Amino acid sequence: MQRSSITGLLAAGVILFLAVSLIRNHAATHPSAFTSGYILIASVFFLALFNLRKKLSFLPLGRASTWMQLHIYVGIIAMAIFGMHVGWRPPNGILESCLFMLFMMTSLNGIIGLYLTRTVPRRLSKLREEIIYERIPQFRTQVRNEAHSVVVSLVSDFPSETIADYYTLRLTEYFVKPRSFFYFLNPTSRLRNTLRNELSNLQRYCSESELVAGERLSRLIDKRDDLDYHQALQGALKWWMFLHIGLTYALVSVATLHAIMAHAFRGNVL
Amino acid sequence: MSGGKKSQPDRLQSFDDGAYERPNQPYTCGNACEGVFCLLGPSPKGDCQADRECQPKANKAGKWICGRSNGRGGKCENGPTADGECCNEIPPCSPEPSLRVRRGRFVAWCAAASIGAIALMLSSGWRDTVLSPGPMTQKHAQILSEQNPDSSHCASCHAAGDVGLSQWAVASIAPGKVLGETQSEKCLKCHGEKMNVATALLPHNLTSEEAFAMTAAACLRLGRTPPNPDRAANAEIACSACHREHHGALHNLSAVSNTQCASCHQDDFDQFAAAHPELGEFPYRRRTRIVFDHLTHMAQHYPASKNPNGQVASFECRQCHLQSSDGSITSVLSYESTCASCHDEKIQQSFGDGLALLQLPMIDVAALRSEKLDIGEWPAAAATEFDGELPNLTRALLSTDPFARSAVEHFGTGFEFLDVDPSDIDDVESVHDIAWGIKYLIYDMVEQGPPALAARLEKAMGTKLPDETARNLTGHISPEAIKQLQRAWFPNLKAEVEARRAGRPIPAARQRPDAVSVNSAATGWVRDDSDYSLRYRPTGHASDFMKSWIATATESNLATLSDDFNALWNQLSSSTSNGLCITCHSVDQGKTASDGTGYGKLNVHWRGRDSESTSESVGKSFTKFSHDPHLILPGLQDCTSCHAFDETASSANSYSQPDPYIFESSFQPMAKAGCASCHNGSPESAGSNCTQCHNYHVEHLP
Repeated sequence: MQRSSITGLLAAGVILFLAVSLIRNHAATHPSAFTSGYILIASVFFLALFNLRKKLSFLPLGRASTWMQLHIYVGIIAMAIFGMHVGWRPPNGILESCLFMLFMMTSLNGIIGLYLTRTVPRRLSKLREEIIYERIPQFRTQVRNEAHSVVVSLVSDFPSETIADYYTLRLTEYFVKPRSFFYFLNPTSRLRNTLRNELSNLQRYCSESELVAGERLSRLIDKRDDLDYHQALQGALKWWMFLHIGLTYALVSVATLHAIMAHAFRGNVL
Repeated sequence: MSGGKKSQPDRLQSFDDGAYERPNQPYTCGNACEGVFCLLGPSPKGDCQADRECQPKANKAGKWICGRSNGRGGKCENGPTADGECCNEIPPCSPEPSLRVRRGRFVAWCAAASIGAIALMLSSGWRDTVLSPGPMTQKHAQILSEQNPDSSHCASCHAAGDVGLSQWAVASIAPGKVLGETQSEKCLKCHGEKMNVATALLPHNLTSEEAFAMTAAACLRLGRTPPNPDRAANAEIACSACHREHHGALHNLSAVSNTQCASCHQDDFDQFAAAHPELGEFPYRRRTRIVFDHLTHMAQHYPASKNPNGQVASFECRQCHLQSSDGSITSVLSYESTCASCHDEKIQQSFGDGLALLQLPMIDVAALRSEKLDIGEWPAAAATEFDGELPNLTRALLSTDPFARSAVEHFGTGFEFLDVDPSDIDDVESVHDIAWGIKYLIYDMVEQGPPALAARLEKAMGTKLPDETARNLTGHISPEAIKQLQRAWFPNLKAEVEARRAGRPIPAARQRPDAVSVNSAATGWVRDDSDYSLRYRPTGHASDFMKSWIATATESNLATLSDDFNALWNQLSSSTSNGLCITCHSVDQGKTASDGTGYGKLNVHWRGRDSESTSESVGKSFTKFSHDPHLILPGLQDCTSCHAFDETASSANSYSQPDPYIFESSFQPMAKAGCASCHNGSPESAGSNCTQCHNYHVEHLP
């Protein structure tokens, strides 16, 4: 573990300890839910500020990496305080249940995002080349066209149908159609390996020129698979953020209403 | 994907091709996925700006030269047209929103959807249903449904239930802003009927003075330094601090956790076995209300040596102490089933001739006449010479007559008419006033009936007697019996009294009919014309007449008792009094009086556990205990396993003074270890929660 992570975790532990102590001591004269609620809504607003910080990059508000670390630690602490706030059980009311679900989904989404940002770059760096996400459609078209031209060129030069037939039956769909939804949930190289094995098995029936074309098609299969893999992983990095920010806005709205109501309907006013 | 990043000549991505992405722009070229996007890109508003691939330039010779950059393929083969236009037209596209714009739209939609849903909910008819944090307990839900079957229930307990979001927001932000009645005030609208509203919100329902006094006493007992009295402030605690609603129909509203207790009680009492102090004097906090020496009865009256053939019952706890239906051992068997067999005879003997309500003194009427003092007619048999005594009951009844009272005070406490000096004009005048006082008393009893007695006593004490006490003071004597008494003793009484009150001469005495004694065994009243007395002889134990007179005598503060009532109390409480009531029924005196005189009211205990000492009447105290779950255990069915006798104690001496808390118990103090053997906090133990033994709402201090 990096030294900064250890320091950060220690700091988070100290902050959490202080927060819990404050909640327990403050409970002498106030319902502890109010103390934890104040800390919690302050944490939620602070976490939401991270998005604002990214929009206001021209202001000297500290390094984005520092904000990111704080976002992670405050988020973890907020989850613990949330558990204390709700008494470690789901609430009964409709509004509270909605708020509970929103917080849980936002937190879970944040944890998934944290996992993705920590693992996806490492996985992408193991690929053959780096691809800019926005260019993937363009490269996919390029690969598809190249595969098509390889086969057309082969057929026009040599009257052999082994590779051409296989291309028509199996590879056209692979190069033209996008991957299924489930591939993007769990991207694997199973299809690529299958296709390459099938292509390899055809080698015994191929002429010399077909072998060369087959080899080119194999490389193009790899490129297409790499592009899909890039899209799946980079897409995950981008789309979880869609959900995270969307959920955050909904969470902030409902949490604000909850805070107002908790004050207006509180029974401990004397 | 196998293998690391390799340097390959046919890489897709080239980072030195001069092209770069603009992810911050709102729109991207619609042909980008086909690989034919233009460098110009869409406008910020999303319009396609595609035109031609380059802008040809004219050279010095005036020839148009292709302006396409090397990054876009270099100069084209066809070159510009003669007009200087690029011959390669870029196909137009439908620009698409960038990922950033799509994310912004999604987020805006989420925010709008959530705010819209909130607004819709707040303005709809199911606002309260959605906002409710959960179902209420059955009882509250049922009551509120009956009160407001069609309308909002929120407002029944929350003032905010009557207003909307804007006022909620103001109340949340503005300090001290109150929307109406507080929730605790609303709670007390219903629950105030069963608790003292003035102290309902104070910690443990005690004033700061009471709480501090208890804390200081506890600190003293535990050898700790008492807290600073300045810290004893009357800080109130809202009902909802402990009673949390909206946790479901079956939620226990009265459940209080150890954590809640510990939020104020700084000492960690979480574990009974380890942290709770010793039990001190519990449960023997006061002497027994019935003067009963357990040790004497066990050792002298019920010894095993007296019971060789079972002729005398052995001394068993359960012979007297009953387990009630709720499992508590709160009742004691009746006098008739327990004490009467040994004590009834002595009590009957003590009644003697009965307690005199009235008795005419012997008066030397001639001596009075020689001083020109006329008392009207007086029974001849009682008109010879000065003799006799004034019964204490009569004396108490005469205390409202200023002349009679002055006369009694003239003679002083314990006087007898035998001591009257016929030559002393003051003595003779005092006898005259007493005689008229007696006649006025009988006149009032005849004219107003038996209630005249209570009225006189209430006037004398300056307090209202309880109705039952006032009724029983007369022993249910009939008005006719009083009239018979008057006709027998003073037949001309009405004319005499009315003439004297009108200032007219007293009419001459008439011939009296022969006196006839009246004995009423049914009512207990005896009129004895031999000594001109009216006596009440109780029919047995627990006479309402005796209890009422004792209650009347103890109604006043001992320190402020007049001599008349003091004498009456001394008679009724003596060891030779009629009925021997106070021999067994202990009398307590409060530590402080409400008027601040330093003495409290006398309180006679008629039962082992008086009705006035049960939780139903005086309310809950700090500590509670139920025998029921304990008696299930075989080891505890022997009462002495917990209540061990202290054979060195002499509990009888505890009644020589009125303070019930200064006493010597017949039992050894109970040790915490005995309780902790089961209540030790282990998973299989009997539990060690604070509220298993302690009440929060205290209505009665021990």
